[in-house]
Amino acid sequence: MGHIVADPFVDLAFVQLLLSNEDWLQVVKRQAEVYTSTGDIGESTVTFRTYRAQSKQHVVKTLQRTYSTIDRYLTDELVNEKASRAWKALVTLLASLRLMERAGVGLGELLPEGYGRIEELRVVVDRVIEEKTSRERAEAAAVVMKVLRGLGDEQFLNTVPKLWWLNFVMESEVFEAVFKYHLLASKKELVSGFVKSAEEALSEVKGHVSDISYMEYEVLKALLSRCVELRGQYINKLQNAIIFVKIGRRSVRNYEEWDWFLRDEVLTYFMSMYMAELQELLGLKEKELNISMLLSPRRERGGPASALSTLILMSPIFMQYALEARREAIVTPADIVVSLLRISKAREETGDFVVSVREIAEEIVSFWERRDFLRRLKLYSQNEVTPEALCRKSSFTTSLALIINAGVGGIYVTTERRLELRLPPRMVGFDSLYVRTQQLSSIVQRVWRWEEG
Amino acid sequence: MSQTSCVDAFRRFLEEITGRLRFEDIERRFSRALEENPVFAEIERSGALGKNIIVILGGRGCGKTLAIRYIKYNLKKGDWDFTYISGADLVEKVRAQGSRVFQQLIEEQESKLSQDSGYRVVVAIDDVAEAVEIARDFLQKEVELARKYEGRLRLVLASQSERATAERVMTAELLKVVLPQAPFAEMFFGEEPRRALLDSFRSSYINRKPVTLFRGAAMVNLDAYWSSLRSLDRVKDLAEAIVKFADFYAKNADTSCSEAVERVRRYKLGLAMLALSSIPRVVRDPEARVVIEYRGAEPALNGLGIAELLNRLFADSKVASLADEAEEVYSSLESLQATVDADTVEEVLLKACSAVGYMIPLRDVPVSSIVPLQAPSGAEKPVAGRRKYGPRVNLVEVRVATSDGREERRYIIFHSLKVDKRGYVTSGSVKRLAELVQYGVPSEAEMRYLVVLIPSVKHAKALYKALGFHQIRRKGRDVLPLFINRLSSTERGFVHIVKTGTLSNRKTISHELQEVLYGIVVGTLTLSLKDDADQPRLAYLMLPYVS
Repeated sequence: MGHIVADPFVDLAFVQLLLSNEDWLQVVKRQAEVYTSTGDIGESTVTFRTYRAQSKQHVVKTLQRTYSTIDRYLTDELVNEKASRAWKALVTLLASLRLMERAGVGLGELLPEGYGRIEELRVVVDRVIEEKTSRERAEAAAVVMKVLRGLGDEQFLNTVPKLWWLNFVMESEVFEAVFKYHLLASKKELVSGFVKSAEEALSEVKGHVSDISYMEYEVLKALLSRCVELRGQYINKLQNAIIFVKIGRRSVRNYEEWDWFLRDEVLTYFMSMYMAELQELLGLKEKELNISMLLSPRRERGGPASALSTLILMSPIFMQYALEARREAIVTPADIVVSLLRISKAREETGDFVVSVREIAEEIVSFWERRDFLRRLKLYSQNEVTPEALCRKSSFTTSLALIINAGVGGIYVTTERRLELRLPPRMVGFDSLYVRTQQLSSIVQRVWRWEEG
Repeated sequence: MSQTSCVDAFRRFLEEITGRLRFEDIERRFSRALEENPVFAEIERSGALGKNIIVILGGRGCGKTLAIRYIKYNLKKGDWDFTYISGADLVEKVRAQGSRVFQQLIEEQESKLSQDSGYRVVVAIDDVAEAVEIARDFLQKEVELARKYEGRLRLVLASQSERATAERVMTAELLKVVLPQAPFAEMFFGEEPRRALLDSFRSSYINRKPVTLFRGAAMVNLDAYWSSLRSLDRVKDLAEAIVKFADFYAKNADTSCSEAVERVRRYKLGLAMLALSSIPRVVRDPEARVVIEYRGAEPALNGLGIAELLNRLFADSKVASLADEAEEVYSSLESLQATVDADTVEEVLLKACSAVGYMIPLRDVPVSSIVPLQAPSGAEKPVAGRRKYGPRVNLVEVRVATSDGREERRYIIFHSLKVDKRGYVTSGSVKRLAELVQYGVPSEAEMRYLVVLIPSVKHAKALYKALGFHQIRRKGRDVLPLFINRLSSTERGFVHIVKTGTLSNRKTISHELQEVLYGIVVGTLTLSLKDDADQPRLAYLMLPYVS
């Protein structure tokens, strides 16, 4: 039954039903607004229950010809889970749009201008499903590639961030495993130590040609297999589960291969690192890497916490989008939150403190350096990354404006020396941030500890 | 009957001014007694005319162009030159000749101002919203000029509040983008121009404050002048204003007609009541709701609306008798010392809704008819002892057309908190409220709003008790508390009369008047039903969008 659980087309069929009903879509749009202000994701609404009740029938009807036994494997439990994820994914997808519209910044920079055009997504989803079901034994990657290649440049850029996000949420267990892999592979000494000793051991054999890089590749691949628990199955199965994230790129030339994904990946790697770093800074012992869990409604201060978690979880998507669209590395909301928490920790500040924009940029660069972001960004972007350049970037003020406008609290702009930057939408001049540690860390904690309160 | 020619002339004048008039027409027709117009008296008193930039806002028919006429008249006395630019004409011209037009206008003004240090000019741009898209740079340049020649160039911008394109409200665009981003905007509007402008535009109608003064500019929301009169407590003031308007119109008609004014004076209170039965509208702005007076298919409470009302008074003898009857209702209000409870208000609201075409009151319907109680494959098990169709509620279905042509349907569900003899909220009504929330009756995303009518602020505790810690955040979003004791004694008396349908002397109210009274409930009374944050939330839900 495994193939149904992690099948991208089943996921899309769930999304398709939700997109197909204009009235439901209106409710989802308004729910996004509610989500960012009270944190209620709307799983108690009649609309959601009706959608959930109809979803099994729709998915079975749509995919029956392709997967003849789908009816049997689609248990009620699975249907409920997938329907709830599709709902959450769409609400949060639109929540990020609402946050940007409210702040009056971000669209066209962190996300495409036409991000809000849900019709475009609907067309693509319909087309993918049609392509899959119209032929027998259509290979997943070929189907998706065919549809994505058929899109115009603008339409492609408008759609892929949404597809990534849907993929992340719908297949959150698989991605949890991928994040686990990144976490493991980022421990450089561990991997390179083993690789070196293995090659040394092999060189005892006569005629062995030492190839460190190839050995590393195979080891990393094995680690990935271990993390996602492939247990002897082909790696293509993994590719199918994460298909929109893996092949929905233009910055990558040979998307079918795994080499770049193992060593130079940005999107999932950044996601993994942001989550790990933040939870480490908060002092959580066990890390939660499952995205759909993180989108569960929070009770206390739900609105700002939900808004912040949307921004943090969307940050890697902002970064990847900027790379795809402009070959540019940007400063994301997650970078700012991470660096502020790091600074407060380094200074051992428990009260309030003031930090200049320059220092934040330096902290971001050192974070990027340490977590191996810099090398990866250089592969895909053209511009140079220095603290000076970073704090001049418009994405810096944009990300900051998004955080502040989300009602997070604890971060305020102030001027120490002279006005260097202006914060949209009201264009308040500033050169430093005033941070209230307690307030900030308590709200960031809400992002991870959703079940309490 | 000798309806004299002077009344005829007055009526002709009213008919002429209710059409759309160009500035030249207005200038010709209104040349006398301008300072006697009560709106202008208010503007004059506020000191807005001393500011360098004057923004005039208002819905259709509230007299924006007339206000410009007045400003010209008023400042002429102080040797100000005057330039009138119409937004619509500007669009035409630019289409024909390109953006040279803007340059010419600016150069013309600048050359005169720089050559003669004693030269002073008022530049009035009417219907700015029409031209916002193409004239952005031009408008910002004008702001710059207003700073450069401070005290010698006075910029007057008039814009229709509701003017909207497919996706944007153009007036909001003017206030959000064009003016705040103009150079030196903060010298005119204060440190945060965008917020200052938007906030005062939004709140002026509800706070009944027609003029806001900024550092070097003023905003005049003409609708807010009218909203200050839209209250049952100010019927007398409105009546006086109507008489003043009649007088103002009469003085500007070809032959001044005191007979017509006398007739208006005779019916003034009744006319004021009739005027209150008009319904204001809501501009659909994504960030907030802005209430305006608007002349659509129905008359509005503004200059145009009053001119039309006066015209009807002379044209239709029924209006006079209706006004008489309405006056009777009003005068009986003063002596009536009625106490009303939440139930009565609910009843009156339900009754009144039926009179307005787009609302349908539904009484005593099971909750299940609007909220399916159990989804077919729902995970939750039905709780034993619950009624099969849920509790029964009174609700109003509101159907309004949105700007993109779809129909928006919202439900307003009423729940009144009942009070026992000792003044405590009964536990039954608290329990029922909690039950309604549990059933998912209020849902913002699905546009179902639960309006809780609460006898007084001290009973608000019951709301917290019913909602509990986790649901209380819904207050002000889809659970809307409204306090009955905020109603004045006049308003309470009015509610009482509408409920019983009879006057204190046992006289029943005619059907026509009943409709008028219902109109007053929806258009005027709802604005007095406020929540703890002083927002008339019910009015926001019940008033239609500008179509």
